[in-house]
Amino acid sequence: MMPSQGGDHRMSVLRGAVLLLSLSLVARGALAQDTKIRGFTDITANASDADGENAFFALGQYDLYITSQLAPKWTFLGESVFEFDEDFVVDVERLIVSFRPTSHFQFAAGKHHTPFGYWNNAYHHGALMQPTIERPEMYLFEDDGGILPIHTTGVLFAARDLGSLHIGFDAMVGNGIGSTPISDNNEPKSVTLALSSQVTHQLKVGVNYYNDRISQGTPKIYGAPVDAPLAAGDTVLATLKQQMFGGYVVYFGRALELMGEYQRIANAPSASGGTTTNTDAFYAYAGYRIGNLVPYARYDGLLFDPADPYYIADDEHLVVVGARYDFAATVQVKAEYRHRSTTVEGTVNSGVLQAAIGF
Amino acid sequence: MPPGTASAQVAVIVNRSNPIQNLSLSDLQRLYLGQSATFSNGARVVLVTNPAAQGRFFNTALGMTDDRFQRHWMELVFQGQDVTPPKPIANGEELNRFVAEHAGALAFVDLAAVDPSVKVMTIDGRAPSDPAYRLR
Repeated sequence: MMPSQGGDHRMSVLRGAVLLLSLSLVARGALAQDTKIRGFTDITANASDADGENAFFALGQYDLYITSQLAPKWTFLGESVFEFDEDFVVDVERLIVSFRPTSHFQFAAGKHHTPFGYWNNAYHHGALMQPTIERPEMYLFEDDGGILPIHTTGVLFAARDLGSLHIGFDAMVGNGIGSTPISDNNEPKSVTLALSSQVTHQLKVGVNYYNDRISQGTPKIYGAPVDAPLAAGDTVLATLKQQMFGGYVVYFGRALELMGEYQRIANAPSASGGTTTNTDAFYAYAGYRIGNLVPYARYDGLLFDPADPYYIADDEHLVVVGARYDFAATVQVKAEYRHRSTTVEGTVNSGVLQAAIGF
Repeated sequence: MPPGTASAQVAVIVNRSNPIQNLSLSDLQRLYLGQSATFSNGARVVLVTNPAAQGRFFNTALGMTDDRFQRHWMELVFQGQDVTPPKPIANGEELNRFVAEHAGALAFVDLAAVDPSVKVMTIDGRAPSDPAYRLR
């Protein structure tokens, strides 16, 4: 998922090794360990008024995840996704070994979803789980054109359900922007801090902070997802310091569903004297449950500073109106109309129908 | 449960050795949604569900359908949280026996199916016989 740094062969070897390890764990689980394998997938039908785009069907991510109780207090979680990218490829999306001395505290190492925001750690890769067909634009995966470091390989210390406010926190140090799961392109590590409160069983709030260095020569990122390669020379000219501050409020009631998240990403030259540029990323979601049917709407915004040294500014606004219907806990259909406008590409209207399952 | 008795009480039961006598509805909700894993005295909870009573329990206690409850627990497992999904036990005798044999067990069952080997909790200070009891 992270930008390749010339380690494609090593990544292939790593992926193969991880799959073998996973299969080995499953096999051993039959003898000794409590090991479970589960999965998700989805199929979509798409149509839009974009110039030159035909209506099409598409396979979504074929997502397999494995959980295993390795020993008392030790657990493993692996998530591998098969998806089409010129050919079917396998991405190791999460690989986490955890030690939990008590039910409140966790030490973990591996490849995680970076612990900022709510959506990024609640829904991961299974389309069945999330309230809309796609993730908000601010939380798109790196290889789908996302602007944030969704995955981080490193170590995590986390706590849950502390005190009467049911506080949770995460502190993570890992390979940062421009890295891969097996290497980092600079010495400074990314740091992520998050604090949350499960105020009631239906209401959760949280804030987060992220800090990293972006090295000179790191490829820039398009502000809005564009299906085209970067132009030659579109790289960061001088090492940057990236800081991100954000927060969320999420409410899932008996019928009403409300979610709102915001992140401000500040990029500044690492050397003193430069100007800080700010990017604002946010979404707001509302749904209302009527039996197994949930009509919903979502609004996403990405607003860039034209002078940003890392993002190729392309402001985006996305309006999604849709509905989902649960045939069962493991079978769901969603239908959406989307109105997307960006500075560069203009406006595109589209309709998407998705069938998502868990198995 | 016979048709037409939708208001019958659902009793929340624990092991008789459990020192806790009362649960707030809020604590009960957090435990069954996997947001808390321990009783207020720190003891680890072993959750049990009962298909015969879960439609009423999920609706009155959690505001959820069966499918939504199941999806919620799929999400928790998928998130990698330290949770053990509830153990479903359909048979009333077996459920009572399981709770009697596991110190951390927390279960719900039709009040009429409770036997003396387990302890019935009050919810927000109200017993199932109280007209204001929440789980009916």
